Order: sequence, then structure tokens, then C-alpha cells
Amino acid sequence: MLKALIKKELSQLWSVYTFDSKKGKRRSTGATIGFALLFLIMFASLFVMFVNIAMALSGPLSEQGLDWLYFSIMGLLTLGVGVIGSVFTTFSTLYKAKDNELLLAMPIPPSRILLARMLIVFLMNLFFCVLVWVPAVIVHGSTGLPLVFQIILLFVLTALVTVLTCFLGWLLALITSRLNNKTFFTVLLSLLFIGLYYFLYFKMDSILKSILLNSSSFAESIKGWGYPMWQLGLAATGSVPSMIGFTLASAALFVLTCAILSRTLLNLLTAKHTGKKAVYREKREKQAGADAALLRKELRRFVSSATYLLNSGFGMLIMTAAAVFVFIKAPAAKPLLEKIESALGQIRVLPVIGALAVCFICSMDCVSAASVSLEGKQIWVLQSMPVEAERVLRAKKRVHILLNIIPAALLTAAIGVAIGADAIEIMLMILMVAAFLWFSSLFGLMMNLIKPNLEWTNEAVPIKQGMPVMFSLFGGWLICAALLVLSLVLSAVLGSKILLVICCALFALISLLMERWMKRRGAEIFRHLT
Amino acid sequence: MLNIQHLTKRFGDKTAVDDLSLHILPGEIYGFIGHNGAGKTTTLKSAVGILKPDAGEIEVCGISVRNDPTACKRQLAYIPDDPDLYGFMTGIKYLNFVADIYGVSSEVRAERIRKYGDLFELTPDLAQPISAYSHGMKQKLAIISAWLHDPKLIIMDEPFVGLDPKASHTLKLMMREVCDAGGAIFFSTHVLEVAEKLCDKVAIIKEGRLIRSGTMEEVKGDSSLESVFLELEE
Repeated sequence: MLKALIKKELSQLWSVYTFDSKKGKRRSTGATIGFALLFLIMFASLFVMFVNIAMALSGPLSEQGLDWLYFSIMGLLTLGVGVIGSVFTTFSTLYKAKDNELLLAMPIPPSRILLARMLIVFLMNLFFCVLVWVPAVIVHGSTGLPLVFQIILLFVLTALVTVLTCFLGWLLALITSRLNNKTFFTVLLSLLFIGLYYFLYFKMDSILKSILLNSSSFAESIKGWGYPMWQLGLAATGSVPSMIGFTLASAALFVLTCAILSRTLLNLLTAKHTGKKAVYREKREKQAGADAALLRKELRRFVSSATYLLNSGFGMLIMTAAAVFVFIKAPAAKPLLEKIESALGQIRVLPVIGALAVCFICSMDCVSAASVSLEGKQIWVLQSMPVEAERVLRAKKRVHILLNIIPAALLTAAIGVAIGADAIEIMLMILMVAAFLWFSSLFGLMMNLIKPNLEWTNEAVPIKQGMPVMFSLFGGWLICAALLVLSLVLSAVLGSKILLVICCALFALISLLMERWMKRRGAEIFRHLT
Repeated sequence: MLNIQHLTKRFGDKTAVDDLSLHILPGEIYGFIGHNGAGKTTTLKSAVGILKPDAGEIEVCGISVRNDPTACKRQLAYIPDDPDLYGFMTGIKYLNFVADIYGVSSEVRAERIRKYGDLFELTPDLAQPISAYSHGMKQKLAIISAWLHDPKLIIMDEPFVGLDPKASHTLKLMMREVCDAGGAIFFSTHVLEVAEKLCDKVAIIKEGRLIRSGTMEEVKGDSSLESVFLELEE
């Protein structure tokens, strides 16, 4: 029985390579090989990154006789990477598996179901631990008993990561089951993870330097607040009592976790906390016009989906953050900007480059490029209503522009101030970005009408993988790049203001042509999309 | 109310509806019967203006669907076989969205939402997101939204699927009410007993072609609708 369960779990794990869950079909052999290759490349690059970190720490700490501290830090990193890497998969494997009810209805003791799933979680965690711990061991180059201990510690650390991910996964299951606004929570959590990732990525070098500079005091403090990590370090350097103590403590925690989960599994798998049920209380609703209703509907669609928000709204976030950053750091960047300007020649071209940079970021927000496909099987609602298709499309276009215009204008103004542009230049820069937004909203919509996909089962497909989104993203970038080259060439004869006007006129002209297409052909396509 | 003349719709090589003509008068509940894939949904979607016919003409209240689809849609309401509604909205937001599109005033919409919400026992759940609704609840919401703007013609595809017995009964009464007020109902169904008891007229479609239509008596005579249908299907 256990063998059959493990086999099922392993085949499910393997299906990540052979089955495309977003498209709901089996990958072709080529796609499977490609996916596996991509995975290998990703593994290799992360492995190399951790080799570099290990190399930066190993030598200096060994010289000071602080080998144990090296293993403590690498152990801590192993736990961190393991937990961050697999907390969500542990959550979905243990608590959100789709076959819970099917398996529980069969004559299988819940403890066996748990055992099979724990094994899979352990294997996934082992992958992350290998990624960090193995480079640490290789770089240190120990031999004899310490090497044996370090190999055993790989599995001990994996068990510890499993304990931590089981606990955090349980916490996540508890929180998400009681939350009413899951989208907000998902977006917040995703942004926190992205923020943490970038913070560590940019700060890693200074963190390593600070550890190496203050290694003695760091070692002393770790003996206090990080007692288990101190023991881990000692165990990895060959201390038998520390090895026995650390292993036994970790094993005890692992067994305790398994025992608790086994006892409470049935409750965990079948519990349905749906949060507090909102009860409708009648209140007077204001009547709105059809255009306002359509606009509100599109906005609601955008903010209700974490996938849509994070993928099609990431540019807005970047623009807002960049506007603040540029505003604060502008004085420091002035000498560099002046150097660039003088290298470019006598004529000012920086305003055009600045506006194009904003357009470049705007291209990342493909709100309209997914909006038609996102109607999916609900497209009948709009098609059966007495509202012209062009008004529906107009609402989709407006939402794209409305969402982007404020962060884009803020960033453009901040850049304008930073490069010392005059008021007219700043105004023209903002006008150019607005014209670009008009163009990109229509371009994305047009692409989506030409290549719609209403048959998706997972909304991530039209949002992330659709051809319209790709065309919209790369098309926008391509146009920005072409205009950059053109502006640099023309800057020898034309001033920045004229260049900005030319760019504005170009975007406006193309947009007008697309508006015409949208009214006739676009509306006709939308009316009969099935 | 609904006049379909020589409707033909093809999907590639397959002719889904072939030269179909139907005339639905005010006050009539018109049942549309046929096996799976016979062309019922295609006919209904063409009548609503979602599908573009390859040939033929459809008129709603004397207005051509081809020439002025928006004006036609103002007169009718449509409920598909699987009412996939906006899961990201709550029930009440959806109803308000529909009311805004049809230009239903605040007072009238409040009164109708209260009336039909209570009839289908859905009022307390209107604050819930539609994604949390069961199939039956979605069907009830789709029915309420269809009745919200007091349409003259209601086109429904398998409207009784997923409804509990009480809601089914309520819907039948509401259908009769619409017709008594001079409106018309055109709906497809597989439940022949319902069609037999409820419909004034019935049409049977097979492989895209209309094989029999008329009043219930004309179609079934002394037999049951089921035996006539099975006989025609052979």
C-alpha cells in the first residue's frame, strides 16, 4: 500500500516535467527535454552562486580557526534557502492536495498518506539543501570523520527544513483558510518575497564583508542566540558529542512533527474554514452609466487576481518606486548625467531618452493585452448585453491607461527634474509617455483580438504565456529602441523639444489608425468571439 | 416576438443549423427539443446575436439582429446552458452591473432584486463572491439578472439544470408570468415532461434541421411528447 502511495506521489512529482498544468496537456518530448534543460541550467547557476559564497567565507574563516562558524553560516543559509524554496510546495503537497478526499475514502490509514507525502516533501527539501550544503562541503575540502559528518548533516538539515516548512505550511493553510481577501494576501506575500530577494541579492556582498570583518564578535554572539547553529558548526568540523546532540535533537523534532501531523491529519485535510460569511444587507445602489459600469468591471477584474496584478502591474510598481528613488538620488546622479549629456553632443537629448525609458517600463504592463482572453467562458455576458462592442473595448483600453498614467507621469516628472529639463520639456515628456500609453493600450488590445484564447483553464496562461502579451511587451520595447536610435541620430539637427513633439505625433498617429481599426474590425471580432 | 427565417450556421464543413425557420409570438412559451449536438445552442446563440448566421434572417420585436444587434439585445435576456458568471464579483455587484448596462433605475432594481432574490432564497448570499456559489446558485443569479430589466423575450438554454425543485417551480411560474404580460419565452430542454406541461408550442430539431414544430397538440397528438421525440429520432 505504502509503495503504491509513494509511486503515485513520485509520478505526480515527475509530471512537473512531462505535464503542462497551465495548458492542461502533456508536454511534447522536445518541451520536456527543454524544460529539464532549463531546470538543469537553473540548478547549475544557483550551485555556482553558492560555491562563490562558500569560497568567499571558507578561506578567511579557516585562517582564523573559525571553521565551525563557516559551517554554521552555511547551515543557516541552507535552512533559509530550503524554507523559502519549498514552503509553498510543502503547503500544497501536504495540505492542499487535490486527491485528499479520494485517498481518505479508500481503506488507507491517514498515517500512510502522510508518510508518502512527507517523503516527497523531504526529497524536495533535499534538493534545496544539496544546492547550498554540497558547495559548502566541496569548497571546505574536509576529509575523514568531518567529511562523513558533513554528509550525514545534509540529511539532518533536510529533516530540519522539513520540520520548518511543515510548520510554516500549516500556518499558511490556517491563514489562507480564514482570509476573505486572499488576493491582497498573495500580492503582499509575493511582494515581500521579491523585496527580500532583491534586498539579499544587492546586500549579499556587504553582509559577507561585515561577517568577515567582525568574525570574532559574530562567533561569540552566535554561541549565545544561535546555540543550535554553533553545535551544527562543531558537528560539521568533527565534534562527536555535537554531532550526536544535533542529530538527536533534529531527529526528535522530525519525529514529533510526523507524530503531530499524523494525529491531526484527518482534521487538517478535511477542515474547511471559509472565513466569516458576509451576509447581504440591502442598501441603495446608485445607478451608473454603461461606460462607468464597464470601466468598474475591468478595474475589479484587475484587482481581484493576484496573477493579473503581479504580472501586468509590475511596471506600475517599478515606476512608483523608481520615481521616489530618482527624486531622492537626483542630486547625486547629476555629475554622471552631465557627463552622458556631454558625451552625446551639444544638443540635449536626455529628455527624449528619459521619456523613452519610462515608455520602456510601461511596456511591461500588458493589462489590455490579456483583457479580451480573460473574458474566457464568461464572454457571453457582454456579448448578450445591449452594449456596443467598441464600448467594451474602450473600457479595456481606458483601464490600461488609467492604471499606468499616474506612476508613469510621476516617474517622468522626477526624471525631468533630475536631468534639469525645463517646464515645457517636462510637459512634453509627460505628453509623450501619455501618447505611448494610448498606443500600447490599443496595441495590446489589437494583438489580443487577433490572437484571443478563451479556452484557458488557468488564468496564468493568457496573462503570462499568451502571444498577445509577448507581442505587446517586445513590440513596445522594439519601438522604444527604434525611437532611441532615431532620436540619437536626429539629435544632431533637432532639439529635444522637437524630438519629443515628433515622438508624440508618431504615437498619436498610430493610435488614431488603431482606434479606427478597433471601431470597425476589432468590434466585429469581439462581437462574435467564441 | 422572435422571427427566425431560413437560419443556416456552419462551423467549417459541419452545418450546425440548416435552413431553420421559427416564429415565436407574444404570450408563448416555446420549447426547443433535440438530442445533444442537434443545433439547439447554435440557434439560441444566433438569435441572441452572439453567433453570426451564414444565411437567413432573425428579428426580435421586428428589429433585425444583423442590422441593429444592440436594439435587439435591449428587448431580450439570455441565459446559457452553463451560466459562467464573473467569479470576481459578488452576487449584488453582478446584478448592479447588469442593471447599469440595461439602465435600470436605482428604485426599480432594488425592488426587483429584493423580489427575485427572496423568491429564489438567494438574498442573504448576494454579498458572497460568485466564485463561492454552487452551480444552482449561479443559475439562480443568472435568472434574476435576466429578469432584472423586464425583458420582452427571454431565451434560455437548459434553464432547469442545477435548480432545486422549489426553484424549478418558481422559474416555471415566472415564465408563465412573463407570457401573461405579453412577453415570450424560447428555451431548450432535455426534460420532456417539463416541456410537455409548460410549453404552448414546441419545436424538434435533428442534425440542424427542424423536423417538427407547432402547438403541443399538433406535435404530440394523443401520444406523449417523449414517444413522439423518440420516434422522430429513430
